[in-house]
Amino acid sequence: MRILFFIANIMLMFTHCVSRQELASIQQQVAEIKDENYSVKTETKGYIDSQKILKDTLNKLKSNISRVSYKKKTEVFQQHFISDSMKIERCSFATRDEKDTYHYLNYARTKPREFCEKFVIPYWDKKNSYHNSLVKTMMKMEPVNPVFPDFQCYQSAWCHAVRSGKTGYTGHARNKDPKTGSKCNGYFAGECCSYGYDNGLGIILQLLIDDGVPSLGHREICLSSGYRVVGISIQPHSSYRHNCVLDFM
Amino acid sequence: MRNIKLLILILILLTILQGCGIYNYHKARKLKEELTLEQKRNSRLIKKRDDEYSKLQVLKDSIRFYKDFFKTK
Repeated sequence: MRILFFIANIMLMFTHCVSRQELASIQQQVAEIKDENYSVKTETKGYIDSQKILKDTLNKLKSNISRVSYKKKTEVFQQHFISDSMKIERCSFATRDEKDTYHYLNYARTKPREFCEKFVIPYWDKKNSYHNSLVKTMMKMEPVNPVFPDFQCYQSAWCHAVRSGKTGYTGHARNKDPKTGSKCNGYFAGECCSYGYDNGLGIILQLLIDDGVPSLGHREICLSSGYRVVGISIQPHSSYRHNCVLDFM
Repeated sequence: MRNIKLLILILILLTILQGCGIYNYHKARKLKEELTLEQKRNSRLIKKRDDEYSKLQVLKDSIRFYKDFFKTK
């Protein structure tokens, strides 16, 4: 009994002991993790240094781009763009401003990069996310087919533009005429409505920038390859002075 | 008498061994604390490194975009 008690005491004495081997392994672990931390730290420092250099380069590029855009700005206004599409020029039912809208729309669709450099970048507000996304989209996108005037689409657009203008309505719903009770027939697969502009470039830029429309639906329709024809009608509006309806098919 | 002397000798040896063991134990405990601290620091540093790397990639993309833009000009 005494011997057992003695052995138990000795066992108890050694419970708080650590062997040299175990200690060495812990020391090794600590040394390894310290080395790793040091290498990660130097790597991070390297990234931060590279960032500083890249930021300088980016600022230089940005200043160059604004300089180039400023030079072009005055020239762009004087340029009168005429599309090579004779179909639009021969269109009998469209007015001069409506024909211009067709031209600018087709210019944006067929030469998005050129359009962006000429008309979007000079007005580029870098703080506006809609402007930034438009520049990115147009600089990267592939050209799409042009769209040509169509009388049925035009009739649909004209009716909605006239009705909206009279009642001061903004939106896409075909409402009944308060006097006659008749309703406009909608002949379109995609519709864009612009308010406040009566010139082609203004209308197209408003629809492409699509400021305040998070879904960017108007931009998507204007630059979509799925449409072949369009009807454009610009009419006076009681609240916004002008409104333009574009019915795509 | 001889047995008692032997027992005392064994006890002295055991006490010395135990002393060494306890010394190592305290040392190991300190090292373990240091290890946990270093591990926490490591995860923090790795997170920071990844953040800085992603920022760097964003900058590289922007520069590529602007350079492409100038090439087309």
